[in-house]
Amino acid sequence: MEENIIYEPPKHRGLYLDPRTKVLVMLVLATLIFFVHKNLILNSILVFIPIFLLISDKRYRPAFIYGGLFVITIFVKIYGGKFEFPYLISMILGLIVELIFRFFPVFMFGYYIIKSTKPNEFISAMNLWHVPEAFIIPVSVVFRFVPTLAEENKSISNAMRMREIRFGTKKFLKNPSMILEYRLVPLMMSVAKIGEELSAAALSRGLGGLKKRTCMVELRFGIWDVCMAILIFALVIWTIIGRI
Amino acid sequence: MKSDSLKTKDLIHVGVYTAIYIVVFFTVGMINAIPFLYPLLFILVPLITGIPFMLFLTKVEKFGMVSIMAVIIGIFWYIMGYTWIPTVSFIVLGLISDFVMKAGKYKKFSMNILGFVIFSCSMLGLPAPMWLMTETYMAGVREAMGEKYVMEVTKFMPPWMGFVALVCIIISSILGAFIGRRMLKKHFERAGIA
Repeated sequence: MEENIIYEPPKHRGLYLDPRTKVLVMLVLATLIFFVHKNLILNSILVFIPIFLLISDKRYRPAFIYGGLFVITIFVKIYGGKFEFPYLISMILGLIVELIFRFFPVFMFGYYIIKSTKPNEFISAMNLWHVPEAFIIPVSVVFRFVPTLAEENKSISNAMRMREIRFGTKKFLKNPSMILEYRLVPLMMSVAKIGEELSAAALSRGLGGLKKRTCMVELRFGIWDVCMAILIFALVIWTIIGRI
Repeated sequence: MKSDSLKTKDLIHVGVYTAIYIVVFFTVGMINAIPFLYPLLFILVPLITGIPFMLFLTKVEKFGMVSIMAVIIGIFWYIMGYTWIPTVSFIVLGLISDFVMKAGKYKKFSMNILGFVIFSCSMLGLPAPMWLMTETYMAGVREAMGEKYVMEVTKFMPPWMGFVALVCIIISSILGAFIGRRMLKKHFERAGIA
């Protein structure tokens, strides 16, 4: 008789953050963003956290695109006041700067979370926090669903273009509401079906069973989580001091 | 046999329709980058989200589903940087609308309209910081978006706009509910989805 091999969770290599750390950091980041817009250095650090994490996760393309945009906006922010731009351009510039500095750190952090966290890790991390299941399941479905929606939307718009349903064509002018109807209705159809299939698949994997579910990955706070906590703590203190 | 507690299947439905709601809202919401189109938001969003919401209501038979949706959307707005006001407005109004629709057992169309109107009103929370904390909020926006954007926005969004927006939301969400029901009858029931 062979002995059964006891399953051992794989060791994490490189920079690995616990999903709980990720969620906490994201919440703190979203809160700090309100307060730091006067302090350029602090804001830049907030911008660099997601870039650094993306690079550590080997997502070089988004990291470099975002980093490049950030360098440009820093120039605009420092030197932009010296030129008088026409109204429209200055408004658009202001908008881009605002986007990069205020929304993108959180955006990119969310992107990092979605790309680097497996759904089962996320669910079991939330279980460890005793978040009710009524909240965990919808949230993880939302995460999974947004890319699907984008994909469906793309194929629908291809089909619509083939049938000349676009702004300004003859068919459009006859019945303008169709541009909404013909896009939303197929989208909802496919989404409703995908939702049914998804729930069937999830049920057959035992989601919603009565027994407590286990996770293949061992979740434990490691050295990187400690580093992240110290960094975030320092940032919070800095922000508070800066406000006083 | 139907139980009152939420099953996993229901929770997945909540997730699916929350995703649609957020995506539609966000896509339409992009137009508020142009100041004089900002008020249009209150007309377009309830009008368009009527269709997914009405389809969502055909899946809802249990209390709590609308509330969970509202909680998730509220937290989403907080993370997106809209202060805490929309979070509170979404959670509170989502609960109320859930109660209202429960009174009609999620089937009665008049109750569903009322519930959808209440749910849509929670989007007033998004520009609310502009009216409630005008000074501090505008100082922040001025820093970020530039003087001209602030002037434009305050020109097109004075505090009395709140009431206009409320009226707009109510009218267009009633319209949206009717459009949603028409779409359900026209397409979804025939396809056996609703």
